[in-house]
Amino acid sequence: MGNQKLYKGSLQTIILKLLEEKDKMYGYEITQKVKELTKGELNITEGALYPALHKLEAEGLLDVEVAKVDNRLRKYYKLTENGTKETASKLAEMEEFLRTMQSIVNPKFSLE
Amino acid sequence: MKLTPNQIQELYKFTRQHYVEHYDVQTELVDHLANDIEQIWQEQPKLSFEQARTISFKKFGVFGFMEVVEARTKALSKKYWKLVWGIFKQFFNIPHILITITIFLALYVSFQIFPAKWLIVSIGIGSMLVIGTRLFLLNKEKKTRFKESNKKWLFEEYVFNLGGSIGFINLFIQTANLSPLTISNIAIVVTSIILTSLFLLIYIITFILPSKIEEILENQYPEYKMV
Repeated sequence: MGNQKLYKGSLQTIILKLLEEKDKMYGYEITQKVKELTKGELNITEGALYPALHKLEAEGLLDVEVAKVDNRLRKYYKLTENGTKETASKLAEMEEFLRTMQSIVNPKFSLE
Repeated sequence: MKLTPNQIQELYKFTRQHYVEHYDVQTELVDHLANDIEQIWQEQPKLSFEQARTISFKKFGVFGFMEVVEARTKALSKKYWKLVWGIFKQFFNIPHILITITIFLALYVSFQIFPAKWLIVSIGIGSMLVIGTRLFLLNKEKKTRFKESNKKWLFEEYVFNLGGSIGFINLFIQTANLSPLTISNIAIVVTSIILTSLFLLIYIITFILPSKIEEILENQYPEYKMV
């Protein structure tokens, strides 16, 4: 397992990116999807996921839908119009961040 | 293997035992635990429901559901004040602005007639009485609603507790006592503006929002009408 601290600041961007690709998702599905995509490298904890989702919802970036599935109610999250715009800018920020880190950590790489 | 309706009810009970009072927060946690328990069963089918539940709950860490509840409360507080702000702004549009101007003028004229300190203190006491009475009545209504539905919603709690703003309003009322006996004309205008805003705020949180509770909950919770 990698250093979870390094991922912490990117949690919102990860959630937004996943929701951009899939119309709507529920909390547990997001944790599983991230595990699957990162082959278990990144494990989003429950105590971090829901606070992040609730914050995005309060900021108006996510909307919720509830459906009855398997004897229980399931809360789905999806991007609002503002959320879609914010996703694009967060992803751009993330790419910029990765490029900057790359030039610090591996300066040779950028010279090649 | 899927969880039975009884086991789902058990999970609701479990969240209540771990200090999650509100149905909306419980529901999300119940679905999460249920998904995780079903996943655990796929890997270890021999585990009992309770054993799988314990494994799943441990993943929430030492604070259990507390972090989730706290974050939810914080997020809803933001939504609450957004709602208040939205209504507040309406009082500066036509025709509501007439009410706002009337309150302002009434205050302005009163300050010309009565000593400032007396007026501010009386307004403070009056506001306190109104808020206190409303809080008492709303608390009663909240209990009746809970008895009828057997469900508490976090946002409902927020609206009926007046968004936890009592402390802030109390602070104003206490500082009222410090105001000077008479004040200059500019100070009268400023004080009248502040008091007008305060009146509107008190009116919004103690009367308007609680009276719209059904509409607010339906908007906030897609599941509100489903259960």
